[in-house]
Amino acid sequence: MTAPEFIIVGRVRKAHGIRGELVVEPITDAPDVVFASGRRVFAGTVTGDPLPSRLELRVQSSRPFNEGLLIRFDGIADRTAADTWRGRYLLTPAGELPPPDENEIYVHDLIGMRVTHPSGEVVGTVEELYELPQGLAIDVRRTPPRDAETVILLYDDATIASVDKDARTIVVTPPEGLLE
Amino acid sequence: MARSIKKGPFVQAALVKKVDAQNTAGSKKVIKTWSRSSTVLPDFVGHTFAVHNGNKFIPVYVTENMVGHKLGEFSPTRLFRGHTGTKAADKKAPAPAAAPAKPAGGK
Repeated sequence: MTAPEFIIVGRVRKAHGIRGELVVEPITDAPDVVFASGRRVFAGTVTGDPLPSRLELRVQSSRPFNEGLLIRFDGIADRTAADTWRGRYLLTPAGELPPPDENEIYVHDLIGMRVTHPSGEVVGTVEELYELPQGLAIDVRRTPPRDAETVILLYDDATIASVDKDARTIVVTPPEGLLE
Repeated sequence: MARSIKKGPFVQAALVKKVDAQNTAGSKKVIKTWSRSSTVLPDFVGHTFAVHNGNKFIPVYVTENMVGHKLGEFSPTRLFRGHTGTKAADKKAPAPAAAPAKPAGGK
């Protein structure tokens, strides 16, 4: 699996006021870094794809607002222009993300990782990620001959024994009977 | 209208049977169930259920504060896939334990 070129970091909820400010829902663990004054983000579509024109938006100012951020971008000067941004995603190049800490991994990096038992027996490959009420869960596509099936495993301390970012392997200790 | 107290909470009989059997044997094997409407009983605490959401089985580890709720409440039928396609969210997940030792020559 190739790493995505652009990573979603936020979504424009709506325009705010008459001076072109936007209410942005941050989809990042470091909104204060990603949306700091002077930083650039790339405009995306409402489905989260980057625009073919690779339109760049530079943050003029940002401040907290209702569990989100109120951001003013260069080039968006009034309410009419701001209204056209409603529902669109904001992206940043994957290479500009700060590296995760030693015991952290970006969620998008989990997709495509090989899932194994501690014995080395392969369970499958991470195909999808879900945010459940119980927390993050990984959907694992089983290996042949059971490759038509997927199994959902919770990404918690009880189930995930270790993650090797370099080898792209997750060692799991699923509850007994879950993989039957 | 609330369910009559006289009847007690609804739980699929087969489910209670399986939990009782495991409690007697002292095992904690995952119990697959389609019975989303079954109420979580105090006996279920500590067991893991794989509750069907119409498409997949969602693992649910029962804790004390789930007692009285229905199993289906913990197995959403609409799964939030994050951000689809090549688009991924800039969120970090903890890698619970240190990665295993790398072979010589690794970074």
